[in-house]
Amino acid sequence: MNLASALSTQELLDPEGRKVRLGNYWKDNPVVLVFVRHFG
Amino acid sequence: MRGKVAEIRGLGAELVVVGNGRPDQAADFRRQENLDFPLLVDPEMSAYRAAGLKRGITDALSLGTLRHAVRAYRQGFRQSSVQGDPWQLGGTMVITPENKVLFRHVNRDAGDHPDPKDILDVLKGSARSS
Repeated sequence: MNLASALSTQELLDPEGRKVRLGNYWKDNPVVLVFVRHFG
Repeated sequence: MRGKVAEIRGLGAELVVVGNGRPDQAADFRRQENLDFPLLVDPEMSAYRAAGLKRGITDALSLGTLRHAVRAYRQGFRQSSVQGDPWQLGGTMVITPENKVLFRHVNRDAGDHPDPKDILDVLKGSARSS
């Protein structure tokens, strides 16, 4: 499994606490996916 | 990359930011900064691991915190077989609907970030070829 495939199956939480599948964000268009150390 | 949202969208892409805090912290940040791009949290850090991101000293805002961080890092390093290294670093990727990684930058330390121009150039190339 390549990196993007592995990431696409990850389930994260949105600000409302709902589970979202990360890969949904690049289903139709490319994404710039930024992992940050902390918010702010 | 936050200031580049319009350019990213102009190239047919979207910015998605992942943090490692709690959902309520993300909600506060989104409200305070008036953000309109997706903001997610990864409390288990599983996506950080899947992305192959590094851990290291990240909080060196003052000599005091640096000294503290170095001491803690050394302690953490010695105990790494037990506790692991507690500092997670970030990174940036450009991923296409075909699950291709067109760009990947793994931050080497807290101050290490990719040049936004490099990311926009990748998106321009992707937009041209599609």
